[in-house]
Amino acid sequence: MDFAVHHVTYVCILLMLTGGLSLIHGRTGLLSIGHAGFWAVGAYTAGFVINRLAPDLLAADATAGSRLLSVAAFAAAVVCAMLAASLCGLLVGVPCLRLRGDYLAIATLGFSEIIRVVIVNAESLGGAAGMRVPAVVCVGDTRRFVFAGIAAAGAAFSLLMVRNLLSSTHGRALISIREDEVASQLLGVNVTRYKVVSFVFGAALAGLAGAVYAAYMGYLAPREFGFMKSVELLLMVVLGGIGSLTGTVLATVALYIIPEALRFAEWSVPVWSLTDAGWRRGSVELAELWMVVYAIILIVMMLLRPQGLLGSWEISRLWKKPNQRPDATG
Amino acid sequence: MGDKQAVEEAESTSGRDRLKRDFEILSVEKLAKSFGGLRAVSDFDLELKAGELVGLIGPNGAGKTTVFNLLTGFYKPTSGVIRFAGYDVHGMPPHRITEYGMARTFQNIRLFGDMTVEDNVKVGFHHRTCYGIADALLRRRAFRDSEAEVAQKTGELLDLFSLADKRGEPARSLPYGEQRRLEIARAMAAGPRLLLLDEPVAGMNRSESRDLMALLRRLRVEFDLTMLLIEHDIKFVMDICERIVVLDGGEIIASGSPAEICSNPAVIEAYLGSGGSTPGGGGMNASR
Ligand SMILES: Nc1ncnc2c1ncn2[C@@H]1O[C@H](COP(=O)(O)OP(=O)(O)OP(=O)(O)O)[C@@H](O)[C@H]1O
Ligand SMILES: [Mg+2]
Repeated sequence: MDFAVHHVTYVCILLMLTGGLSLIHGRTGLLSIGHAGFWAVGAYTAGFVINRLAPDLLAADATAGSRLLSVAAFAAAVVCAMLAASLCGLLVGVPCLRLRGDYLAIATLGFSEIIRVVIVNAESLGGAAGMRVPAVVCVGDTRRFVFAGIAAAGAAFSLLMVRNLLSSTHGRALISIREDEVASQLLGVNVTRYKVVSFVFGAALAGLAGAVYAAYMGYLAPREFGFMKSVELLLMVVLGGIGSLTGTVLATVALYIIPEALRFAEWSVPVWSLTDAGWRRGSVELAELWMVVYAIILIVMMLLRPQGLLGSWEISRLWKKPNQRPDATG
Repeated sequence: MGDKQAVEEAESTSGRDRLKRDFEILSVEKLAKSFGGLRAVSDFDLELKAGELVGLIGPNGAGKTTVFNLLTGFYKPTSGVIRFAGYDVHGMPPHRITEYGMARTFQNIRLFGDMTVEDNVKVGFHHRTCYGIADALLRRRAFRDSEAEVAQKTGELLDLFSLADKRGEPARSLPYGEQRRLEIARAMAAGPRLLLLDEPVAGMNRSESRDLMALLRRLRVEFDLTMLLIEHDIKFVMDICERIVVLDGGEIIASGSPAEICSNPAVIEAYLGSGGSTPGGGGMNASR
């Protein structure tokens, strides 16, 4: 049960990240493999703010006043984290606009590595040893549930914002950039502006994810925000379907749960290895083979369904009539 | 009294029309563009009066598409002046020029393939939609009203272009002729005063191109459009255009009414005489 609540919280944090990334990569078509960098900026900003505003407010003898103060500190941390991350989105977005495809990917990767290196070397951020984040909002038995609620609200908020943006003229402008940048700008879309909007928006949501993560975990380690995390997030977006938010959600949940379930099940597969004494039978835990399975899933997907699991299908199609006409009165 | 009002109204409209007819919507002077050593366009002058329908013809590689790319701001001219609707648009980014009322189609169709037919047209309305990102995120009234209006206008355009029953389909799934029509519908959504059409009937059969001609004529009247069109189909150009400009080797070699162009020896030598279909044919030879 405890574990289940933890997993829900973690998946919700991931959803904030992949929701934003699906905007940057899925809709605008900008290949970013540095999304964990924005997440790190959010998390460390939040950690820093909480450390400043609420160092151990929630010790055993916490009063009602200090409890309230710790909630306020968390709120401030969320705001600062989102601002800091979107500022980074702006900083990365603007110079990278002229880059496309692979070059943009490398630039975003470079950004996230710079962030990581800065954190490792900054003493005020805990360096390589990591940063402790004092508990805020509440302590004790209910804490898990409170944070699961906060994370779920954050994920719902993120996905709602992404959906609202996408179904507006601004969202259509973003998608048109992915489809044909030239036609898009010749139709009156300010391509430069919208690419930056996309980066800033996605980064802000990653900042939110970072703040929730920092307050929930109580401890931040630089290695959590490495390159592999960015790749994992990107795979969730790609696997779910480049144009489908529903697909992104499903893929995020699936790609988180499958390796966790494998670890939990402790299944192992027999392997044979050649030693001095000839072939020997051993075994490897399936969970450790996950990356191999991952790769196989991806290759099969790319061969059979390059547009991703759901393509551009959205769950809302179940209740929206196709070919809906606004003037279908007569 | 009603009559008098109607007469007055009629007079004032015709007065406005006259004014509009005289109004020079586009004036281009000494436009030139080189790619490295290649002079794709040089010494190009063009004046379009509001409401005119002008054809731009010339052999392959004459620089026609390059002229469109210069007018729309997609290429920066090497030199020259472009005044559009009274503004100096030289050096402006394409999306700004679109806002001033210029829209175009492309020689090689450039639709947003994975977007629906409807959304393709809606992107055309984008720069005329004035709610902000915050309005969209919070689903404010401005968002709802504006989206309803866009949906309605999109419906009207799709009806006009006989694409209404395809509205939900991805653009890439349309047959070729309909893709061409959709591209024009999308350009019309941008609310142009000047519409640039790059080979609108390329690859269409006779009856399709006749239908399109009727549609273009209708658009021109209904939307008060000025049109500049590139076309290889000489018959089409002669039928629809009031004035024709002939480009060869990046320079204007003739301009005038269809009849004048038909009998102009330079044109016959450079273009009509070459058969007009051999790629890089007579035009290149004539220019040397
Ligand atoms: N971006 C570019 N870079 C280099 N050269 C170019 C570029 N665009 C056009 N050109 C050259 O400029 C010349 C004119 O090309 P343009 O496309 O304008 O011809 P066109 O009249 O539209 O021909 P067509 O009838 O084949 O469409 C050609 O020689 C072409 O190779
Ligand atoms: Mg051309």
